[in-house]
Amino acid sequence: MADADEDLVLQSQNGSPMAFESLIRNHQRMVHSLTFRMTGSAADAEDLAQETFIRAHEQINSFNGSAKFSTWLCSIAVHACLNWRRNEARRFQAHANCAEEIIGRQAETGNQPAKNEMIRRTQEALMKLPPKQRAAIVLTIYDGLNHAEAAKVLGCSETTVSWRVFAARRRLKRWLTAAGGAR
Amino acid sequence: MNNFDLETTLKSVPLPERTEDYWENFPAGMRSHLRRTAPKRTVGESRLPQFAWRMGAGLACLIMGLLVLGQPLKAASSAIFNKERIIRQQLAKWPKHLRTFMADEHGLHYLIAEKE
Repeated sequence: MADADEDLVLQSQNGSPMAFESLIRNHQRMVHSLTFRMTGSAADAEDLAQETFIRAHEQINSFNGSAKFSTWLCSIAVHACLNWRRNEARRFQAHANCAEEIIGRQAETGNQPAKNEMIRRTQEALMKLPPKQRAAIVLTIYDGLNHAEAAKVLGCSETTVSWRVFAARRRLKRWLTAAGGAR
Repeated sequence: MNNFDLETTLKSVPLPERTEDYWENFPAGMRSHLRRTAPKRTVGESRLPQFAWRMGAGLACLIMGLLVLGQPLKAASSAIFNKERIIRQQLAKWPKHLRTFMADEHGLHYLIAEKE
């Protein structure tokens, strides 16, 4: 655990709201990023980020410093996302809205339509993955964790993570290649 | 498509942009939310286990009490029941003088009155 986090966690465990606020400040971008990659929706990502910090606050006394605070927080966020349930149609609609939003911003900055289309297809492909495979991809590719670290976060074996990453990569390549060829 | 191409493609998907105000206000908003919800949670979570423990302990005491109190009565009634033949004989022998029957570890005892 980083020294700054260590002190803040101890103060939070002793009931300091300001210390916990500082922990939120230090990790809010990481948590928002993870929840967005898992849900594909900016609104859901915000809700899940809030839920993550609420759970972290409730469980702060169970944190014993055996792992980094960020890893512990990441684990809470991933499990909140894995429990995230909603109507499939609504999920894809929210995702589509978000993709449109991103593409809209890209268009404003003068990016090429082909690139925007690729972004949309990639985001769609990511959302089509089974949640546990998506979590493995998000942790290893976007957050840069190795398979052992991802296994700790997901609470499974390293072999399971390796298998999920392999299966997810294979699917993503197939879908993205097919999408690229179809254009 | 190789792994490197796939990772490059995946990383090309940008995150939603949020204003600096959002990042400034989010932690304070969370803190006030936690402050509002914390007391409710504490009350709800702390009373239920206490209540359950008290009910459990009370029930256990009641069961133990019934077992302890019921044991001698059960033993005595069982002893008297087993000695029914002797009791009948004594009743026939002392129909108007026999007052009380008692049973203990030494056997059956009875009290005979001199007068009717």
